[in-house]
Amino acid sequence: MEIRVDKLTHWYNPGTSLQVSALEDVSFIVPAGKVLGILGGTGSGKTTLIKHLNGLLTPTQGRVLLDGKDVETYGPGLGRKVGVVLQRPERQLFDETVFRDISFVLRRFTALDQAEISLRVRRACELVGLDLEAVGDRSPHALSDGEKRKTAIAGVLVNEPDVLVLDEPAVGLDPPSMADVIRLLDGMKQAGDRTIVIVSHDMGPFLTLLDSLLVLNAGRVSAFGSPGEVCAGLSDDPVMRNYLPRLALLVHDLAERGFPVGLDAFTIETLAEQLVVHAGHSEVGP
Amino acid sequence: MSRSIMDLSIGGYVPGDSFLHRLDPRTKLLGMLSMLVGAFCSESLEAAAISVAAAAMLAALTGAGWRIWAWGLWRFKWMLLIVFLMNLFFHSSGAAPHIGPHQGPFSGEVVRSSLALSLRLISAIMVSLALTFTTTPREMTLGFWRLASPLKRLRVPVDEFGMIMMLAMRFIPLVQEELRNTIDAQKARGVDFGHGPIVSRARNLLALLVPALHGVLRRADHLAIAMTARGYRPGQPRTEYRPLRFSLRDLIALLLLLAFTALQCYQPVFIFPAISSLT
Ligand SMILES: Nc1ncnc2c1ncn2[C@@H]1O[C@H](COP(=O)(O)OP(=O)(O)O)[C@@H](O)[C@H]1O
Ligand SMILES: [Mg+2]
Repeated sequence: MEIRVDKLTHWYNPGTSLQVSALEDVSFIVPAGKVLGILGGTGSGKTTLIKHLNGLLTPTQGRVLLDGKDVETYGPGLGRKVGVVLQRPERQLFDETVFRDISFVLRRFTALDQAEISLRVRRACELVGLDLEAVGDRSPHALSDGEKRKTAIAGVLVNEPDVLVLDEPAVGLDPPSMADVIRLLDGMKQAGDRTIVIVSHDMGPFLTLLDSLLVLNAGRVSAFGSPGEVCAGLSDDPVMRNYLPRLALLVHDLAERGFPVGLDAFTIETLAEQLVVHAGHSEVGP
Repeated sequence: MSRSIMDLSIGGYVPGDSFLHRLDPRTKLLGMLSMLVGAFCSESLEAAAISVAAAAMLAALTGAGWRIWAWGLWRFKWMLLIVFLMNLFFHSSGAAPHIGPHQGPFSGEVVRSSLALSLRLISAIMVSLALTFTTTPREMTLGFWRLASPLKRLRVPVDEFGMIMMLAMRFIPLVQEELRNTIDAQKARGVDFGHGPIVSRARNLLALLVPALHGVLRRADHLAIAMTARGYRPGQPRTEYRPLRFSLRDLIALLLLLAFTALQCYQPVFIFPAISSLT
């Protein structure tokens, strides 16, 4: 599904003394099947922006189009087409067992039969790397934090949404769970049948997944483009520099000093490889 | 899909620098009591209308703007409607008037008294909102502590009551925030609260109440830890670092409000015979 956000402006409590301008004139496009990263500091409007993708918020001005159709015209099924995993989703688990929680929406809001529901739950659990045999009958509250997060993500994936949006998926996860989330996203990206939006104030771990990167600052777009371009463009900005992943800064600074590293050498491995190649060819060591 | 909901909570404070914001919280607490007494001490429709008019003047003085006020009052629509209907159906006195050949269902007197009751409630709600819109929970607690401190001699635990009051006021917005987060999160996974048969809608509420309650308890726990870490011990004397100032402005405001209440309570004797003799 293609996402097109067109001159989106959002004010909270418009026309009152409590008015807050959270987004101003934000525009961008994500082609179907591509991965967008949204980077920005706390309060920059990231969460406000993604709440427009599934109609949790409606624009003060501007439009949000999915495959060319305004989200406001989609009706009640929208929440299942656009799956949004909000911040700290594990706090919203409530049902008696992991299986029941993951399947809640399918059981209550679709006409799918028992077999189909079981199948979808199993598929979602496989995707997120959750062992359904082991935890399916346990209470979600008895799980580890990483498993809870996976359960919550699976609860969105069972709808088999065309668009998957994750708000701050890294916050509060330990490194192994984090690696699982990256693997999940990478697998979905390879499958290529879903548009993915990753929101984070620290884009480092996700950089290699992204096709494009949108940087928000105080509700406005401060850069949009391929991750390499965006990071290179913002590396010289003394304020925005601080939000960029450290590896991207290193790549930029090396390139600027004449090291021939690619602007998208966004993992330690690729960067190291390129530096090794470089070291073999000249006298200058890194 | 909902338009963005106002985020001001019940008991919420609207930052500003209006006349009411600058009054001493003690003045506002006493003034509110006085206005409430004024609203409820007379049963007539005229007195109720005057109470609402006075409350509307206070509303204008808060500087919060009509949108916030409209939204603040709109939340009470069901309560007001229910009270109105209850009074209409269960408080019968007098015979229903004849409208043409048919007898109407309610007497004019009951309709008037139901209207008057609703108006008195509206004025009470407006007066309370005027207080909470312009007074922070902290000021409110300080005002309460100072007003109630003579009761300490009677061994009433005033400090603890004040702390409970402040925590309750601080907690309402948190509860609302948790609920909103949970509603958003469940909608974001495809839960559709507005549809389906009523029984299953009620069951969907579980998806709301369990996580929201969890969230509130988690925050209560954090708050308790934070308070303990900062040395709060129930029963120990407290210090306050911002003294309250009762100024000339407060004196004038308080006298005006008390005079208004006195008039409201005595007007059936003094004013209304005069009005009804005119008509
Ligand atoms: N429900 C709300 N009511 C009023 N203001 C809000 C609300 N939610 C967010 N804001 C404000 O909007 C701005 C953007 O917030 P948000 O989208 O949550 O940013 P981020 O997710 O990037 O941290 C902030 O200034 C925040 O205070
Ligand atoms: Mg956020």
